[in-house]
Amino acid sequence: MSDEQQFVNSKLLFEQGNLDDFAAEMEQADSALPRRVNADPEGVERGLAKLVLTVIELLRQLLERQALKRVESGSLTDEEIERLGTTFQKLQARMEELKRVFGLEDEELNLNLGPLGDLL
Amino acid sequence: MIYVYAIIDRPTIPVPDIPGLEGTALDTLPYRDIGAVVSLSTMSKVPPIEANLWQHETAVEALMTDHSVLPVRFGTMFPDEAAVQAELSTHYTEFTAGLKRVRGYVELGLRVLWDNDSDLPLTPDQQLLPSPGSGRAYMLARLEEECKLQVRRERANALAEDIHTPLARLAAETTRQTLITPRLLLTAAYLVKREQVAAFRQEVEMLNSTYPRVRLLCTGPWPPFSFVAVTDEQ
Repeated sequence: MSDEQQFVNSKLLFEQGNLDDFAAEMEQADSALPRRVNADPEGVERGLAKLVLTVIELLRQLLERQALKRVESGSLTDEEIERLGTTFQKLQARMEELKRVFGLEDEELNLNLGPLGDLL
Repeated sequence: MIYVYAIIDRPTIPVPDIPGLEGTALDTLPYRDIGAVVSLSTMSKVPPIEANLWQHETAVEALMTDHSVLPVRFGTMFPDEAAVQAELSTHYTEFTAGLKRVRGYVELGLRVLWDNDSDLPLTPDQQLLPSPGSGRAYMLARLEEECKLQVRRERANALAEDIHTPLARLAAETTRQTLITPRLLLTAAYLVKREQVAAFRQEVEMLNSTYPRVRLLCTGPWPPFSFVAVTDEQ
């Protein structure tokens, strides 16, 4: 057993199940929002696209939630709901298109609205 | 360049004789009754590769045997000794208060995975794209989904609270985040008295059997990384 493996084992106070499952989730949590844009010449475009698309996706979700609140409260006419729905569908389709162009997966734009979700 | 590992109390006690980064010896730069544990570096920036991270962690942990320790973030460097001294002098009050706060304490980490086997969705269904022209159907479907998500969030928060509360009773301070990812129910850190680590572990075990639908991972003891705020940008 390597020193590092021994060190890792010494740090496990309690574990249940496969550690890989935890590792995978934590990796995803870390990559949820890019802390820095990858500024390598090769990676800069994708890095920027990821950041920008993440922000756009955030706004899209916020707007959609706001619209859903209004649908729920019954303050919109059928026609208004129809128009909003069509708009959000188109927005979503366009986002899918952009994600494809930049080769980004949904998980890479994974947004945890967390407490923000409760504010809306 | 000078690489900094940690701020310690009792700087007159010699630091452990273990190699730091690049195999150079650890040394203490004292200032009044505190000190910075450093080593000389030929690099201007230490790459965050696994070996270096371990070296940093090992050094900080070794210091915990004889000292109260404020761990410094990996990669923190200063151009010379005077710059380190200046940092110690500027933040002296902060550092001494921090050292007092963590004296005798260690950090324990907790991750809780939630195996969601209910009918509630984990995330909004991105594939939900009814045929064009049915905007109203789309909005109603989204609304229904949003309600389910809301229920799930509320359940998650309640469950996270149930797990966190008994553990927080054994800790002086805590940090926590709920649902960073849909499956990562709880991510928390606890500042626990060294003597309480066994009791904490026992509580985790108990929680694990009380809540069969979650999986717990408890790690430590760690230096109190989550409970110190040491300036790192230079």
